[in-house]
Amino acid sequence: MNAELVVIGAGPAGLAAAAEAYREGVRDILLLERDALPGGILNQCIHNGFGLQIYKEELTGPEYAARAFDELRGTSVVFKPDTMVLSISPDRVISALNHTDGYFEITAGTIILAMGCRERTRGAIAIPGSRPAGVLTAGAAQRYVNIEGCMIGREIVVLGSGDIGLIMARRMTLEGAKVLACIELMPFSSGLQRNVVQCLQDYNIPLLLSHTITDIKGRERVESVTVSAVDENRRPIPGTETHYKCDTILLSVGLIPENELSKTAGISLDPRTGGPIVTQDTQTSAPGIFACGNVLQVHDLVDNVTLEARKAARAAASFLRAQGTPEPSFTIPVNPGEGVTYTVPQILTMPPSGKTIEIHFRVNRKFGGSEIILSNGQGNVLKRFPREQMTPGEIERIVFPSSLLPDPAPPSLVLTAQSLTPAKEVNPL
Amino acid sequence: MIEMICIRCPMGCHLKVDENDGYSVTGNTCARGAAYGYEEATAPTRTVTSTVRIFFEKPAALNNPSASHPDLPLVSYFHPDAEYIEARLPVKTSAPVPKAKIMEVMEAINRVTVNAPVRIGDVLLKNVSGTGSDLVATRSMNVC
Repeated sequence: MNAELVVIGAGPAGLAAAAEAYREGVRDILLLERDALPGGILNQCIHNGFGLQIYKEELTGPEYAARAFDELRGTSVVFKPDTMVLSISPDRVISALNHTDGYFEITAGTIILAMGCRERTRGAIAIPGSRPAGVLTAGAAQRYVNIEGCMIGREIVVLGSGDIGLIMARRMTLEGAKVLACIELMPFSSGLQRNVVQCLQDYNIPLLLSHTITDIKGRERVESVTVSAVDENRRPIPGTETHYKCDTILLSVGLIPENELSKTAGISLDPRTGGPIVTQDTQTSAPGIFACGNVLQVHDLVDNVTLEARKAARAAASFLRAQGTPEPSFTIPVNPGEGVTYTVPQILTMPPSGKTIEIHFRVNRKFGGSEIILSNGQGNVLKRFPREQMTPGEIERIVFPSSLLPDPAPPSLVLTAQSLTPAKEVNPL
Repeated sequence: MIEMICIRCPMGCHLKVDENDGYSVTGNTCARGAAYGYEEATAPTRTVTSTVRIFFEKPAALNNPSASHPDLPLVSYFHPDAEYIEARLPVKTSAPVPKAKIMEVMEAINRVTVNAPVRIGDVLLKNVSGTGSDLVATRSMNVC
């Protein structure tokens, strides 16, 4: 089997990529999804607040998924659900299987990776204590409650203040459970501020910053949890232990881009993001393979996933049109400097393909009035971008004209964040 | 002066609402923020989302155990003899409801059951708990 474009994953990234590639004139598109329905994680995110930017209204997750899938109606995009991709070769041969086709191989002109991410588990953060039932990731709990219709507990402690944890704290409260506290290791919430307000404050759920779980007790089922304050090095402070009687612990402690398939194609990954190293066109180290959405970097907002997917689709379409044209002459690495955790893209190809260059990044701590400084590897500032506030929980971005890059281009670029005034303490909890 | 974080979009603007000056709003960066600040200080509202029970009659999907059905929960597949299958249909209030009525609205939602097929946007319950908002489906189920 052959296809001009194969999109792997039909969550918001894959759906938006397939639709945009079709609009760009690609007709032979195959969209592969391992679940029985399109939409990915949106199907279990039944809360509202999605889509203000793309669809100009506040949608729930299932509504957003329906809109994104509707964009494929009347197109020639072939959607294959219930299909598991097993591997991708560096020369873009995909092996997959499903119930109707059995095992099959597809030779793809170009590939867009849109496999999303998965949750960090208890094992990944090594919580001490016994191992009873009742310790779930927040996303697993969300699936049980919203899709399967199972209540997962009555007295709940949430560890981590990621958005899914905050959303589930509210959801469990609405379903009649008692959420005792949300425990966050860092001195700030890793979720969006609006979610702290509408999921915790609305229901008087305490958010304990700079705290962590130091013990879980219970044989068959969770019976209690011990919570301790931590010092500035995130070490538990002896003597600060509080005990909560509860039957369930929800973990919202981070997401990991799911790149097992990317590895089979030999794609270079960035240990900082957990996703592929990409150029400003979202092209990975394997020519003709692009990446977008949470498989590339964990996003806060689905609208940004859609925008990134459209960018990947335009790049994939232009890769197909440009078959046989020479590769870019050279590349410039973009490195995170002081105050910056990672950048996407990690590499700029020269000469640049577009008029502007967009760089996404996260800062490593809270900033008040501050500036982002783009400099060359020798410390010469190319441009400063002022910001009123920045937080690690929200992706920041800068956009600058390609012409800003000096000629000859510098050997590398560095992005740093610098504080001008201290961060205001704004969390009223 | 009432301080709050706007929840109308992900920006999270820090609003100040002056209750001694006709609830005038500062700190907002758009008109939605100004409206939110006024509303939140005077009559706060929220959109409520949840799920209701939905019943499928003799789903054809179960005659083919090798294929999963996009609308049914995984646990359904373990009851091939059932005459109907119960799943969850996601719902929302068509407009925000008063914050103080959220739990009352949840109780009303929990009493609702529907039969498939349902289309996205279908009204399942009019004027939930006297709020003036309707309960609507946010997903189509068993619709070809």
